[in-house]
Amino acid sequence: MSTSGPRRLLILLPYLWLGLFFLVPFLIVIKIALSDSVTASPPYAPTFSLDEGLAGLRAAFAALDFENFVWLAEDGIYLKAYLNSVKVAAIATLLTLMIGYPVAYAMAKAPQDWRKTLLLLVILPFWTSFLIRIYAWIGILKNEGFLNLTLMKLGLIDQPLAIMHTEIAVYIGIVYSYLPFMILPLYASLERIDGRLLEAAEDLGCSAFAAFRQITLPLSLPGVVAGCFLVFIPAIGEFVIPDLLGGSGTLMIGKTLWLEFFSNRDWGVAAAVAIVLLTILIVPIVLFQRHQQKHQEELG
Amino acid sequence: MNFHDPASTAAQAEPVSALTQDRTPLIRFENVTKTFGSFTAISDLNLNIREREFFSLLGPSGCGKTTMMRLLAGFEEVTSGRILLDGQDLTGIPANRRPVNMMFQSYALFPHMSVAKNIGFGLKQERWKKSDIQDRVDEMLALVQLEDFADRKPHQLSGGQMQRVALARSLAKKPKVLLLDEPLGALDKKLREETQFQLMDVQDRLGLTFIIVTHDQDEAMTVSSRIAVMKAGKLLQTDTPARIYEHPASSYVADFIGNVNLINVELAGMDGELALARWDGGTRLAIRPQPEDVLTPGARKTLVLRPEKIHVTKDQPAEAPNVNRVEGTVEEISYTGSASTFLVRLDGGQLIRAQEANRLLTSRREVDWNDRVWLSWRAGACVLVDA
Ligand SMILES: Nc1ncnc2c1ncn2[C@@H]1O[C@H](COP(=O)(O)OP(=O)(O)OP(=O)(O)O)[C@@H](O)[C@H]1O
Ligand SMILES: [Mg+2]
Repeated sequence: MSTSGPRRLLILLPYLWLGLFFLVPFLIVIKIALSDSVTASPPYAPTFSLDEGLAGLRAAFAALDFENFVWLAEDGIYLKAYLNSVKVAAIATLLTLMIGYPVAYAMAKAPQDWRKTLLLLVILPFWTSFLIRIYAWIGILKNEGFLNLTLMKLGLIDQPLAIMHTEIAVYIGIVYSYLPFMILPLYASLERIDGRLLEAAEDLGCSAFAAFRQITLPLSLPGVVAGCFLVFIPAIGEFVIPDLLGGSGTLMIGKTLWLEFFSNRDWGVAAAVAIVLLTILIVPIVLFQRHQQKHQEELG
Repeated sequence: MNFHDPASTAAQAEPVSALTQDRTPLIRFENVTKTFGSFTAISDLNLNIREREFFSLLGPSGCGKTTMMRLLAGFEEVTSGRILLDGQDLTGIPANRRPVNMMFQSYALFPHMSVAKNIGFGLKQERWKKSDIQDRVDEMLALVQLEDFADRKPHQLSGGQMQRVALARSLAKKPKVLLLDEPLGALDKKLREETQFQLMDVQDRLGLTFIIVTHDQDEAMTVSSRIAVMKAGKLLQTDTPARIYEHPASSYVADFIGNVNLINVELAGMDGELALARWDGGTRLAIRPQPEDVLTPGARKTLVLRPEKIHVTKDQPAEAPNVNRVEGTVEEISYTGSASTFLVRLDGGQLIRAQEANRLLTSRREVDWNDRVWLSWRAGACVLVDA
């Protein structure tokens, strides 16, 4: 089959888009990561310019080095931030799964004419700005916030619970924000399970729980995997939630990056941090793609 | 049309079969009613099914066949009445504790398990030893001739293979009763017939009781020891295939099973052993009545006459007291390979369907479109049912 001109153009379009808005910026970031920090504008050197001709370009290339990456490896704080990000993202993903699964399950079992409404309720929070919702959590979690006042009024506690500016607050924020990304794929895979499979299992001697364990759970696994990746991947690089809800003790790579960039004005190190983060994320992203593809093939 | 009262025909039809007569029933439906909200799906139904029967449920869509199976399997609870299995009341016993297995119309194979795992699923639930499960699975795979497919996943099988896996899975526990809800619906004719015989063979060899739902009456005729014809949640007739076909209890049953001519007649009297009836006030017909027929002169009845019982000839058949003859014009001939069906318009305007085996090549067939023909049938070839 030969591709005609207009069609080839159509296929080229996404590549053009990716090249322009992903590849070129990414190359710029790599270049900055390989540059040195200077107190100037822009705050890195060398800069490529054609003023000095080919020799100038060659000199600029020669000035690039891996100094920033060496710096990242030598200073333990970055490794700690990376590891802590992975830990926080992993635990938050697990919590989201534990909360999301029963919710998605209940939604999939709900009467047909309720499901659309329930689905709408799940995505309803997206209608409010993410930032506002996180600020709202500050109002709930702070010492004289809604939660503590209510609990004290009820006489359950005498001292306000110190949740704000702790890692717990970060977990609450991430779980809250990313729950829909967990529920939606879970719901999709749970809802697709043919009810007759469960009847068949029961017919063959399964109790309701045994049928859940042997039929529902394995068949919803694609949804579990998809949901976990959709939460884990963005949670690793999360900046707003740890910044607003977490304390100085919550070391996350997104926050480190922000500090390097804005407080230290060290674009070189910040860019290096971003590139390392991307390499860390590529592994789960590739795994996710593979999984989706395999799943598609099995369905088709 | 005017139908028989189903309750009375069901009662009358029940004890006929010699094959199954003196066995005590394995399954008893006692006054079973099932309602969904205000809708009555099964209405005050009584039925006995005996051990080792191959029992078919036949009826139009929505008449309650699947509901009856689901009641028996335990997926639905009866609204009133009760179902007994081997003398034990099944009320309140959940599906997973009933010695009844079901083969689903959609097969309901577990997509994430191999063929062998699917078949062994029920045994695993009963905590069989691994080696015993393996042995039984192998036995079942051999039974359905899928030995080479043990490790395949369901999505790697053809429709016919999936159907056989579903059969093997439902048979693996050797349940007392196997329910088959339109098991062969997705198969082509040839595979269907092959599988029908396989089913009969399995049922016979394992000594099980099968209840099958089917839309295909030929299938029901082929496999069943008895057939129940249902309509709107009631049983119209429960009988052997031959009795259902040749001695339908009502014109509805007659019409539902196979092709039929339903002729409205008025009883005129007796001529020795034969009953005489007037057809549309004109033609006199002779009918050899059944012992149970009540023959009141003047009563309106429906004559059930199967097309293949009618002879089509160009010459007028010889007159005899037990032969009915009518004349008409051929309007349509349909050729089905082994037989040809003639639609004949009688001089009185009625349309009669007659079928002749194609004993000659079609090119040598005597009768053609628009020919004048004689239709004849013997008094013993038709039955009377209530109009
Ligand atoms: N869960 C239910 N809720 C309400 N009505 C139901 C339910 N299940 C079945 N029915 C109704 O009961 C009637 C009998 O249904 P059933 O499935 O037994 O029909 P069937 O004889 O198996 O038909 P088919 O040949 O089309 O499979 C139908 O009118 C159906 O709409
Ligand atoms: Mg049905």
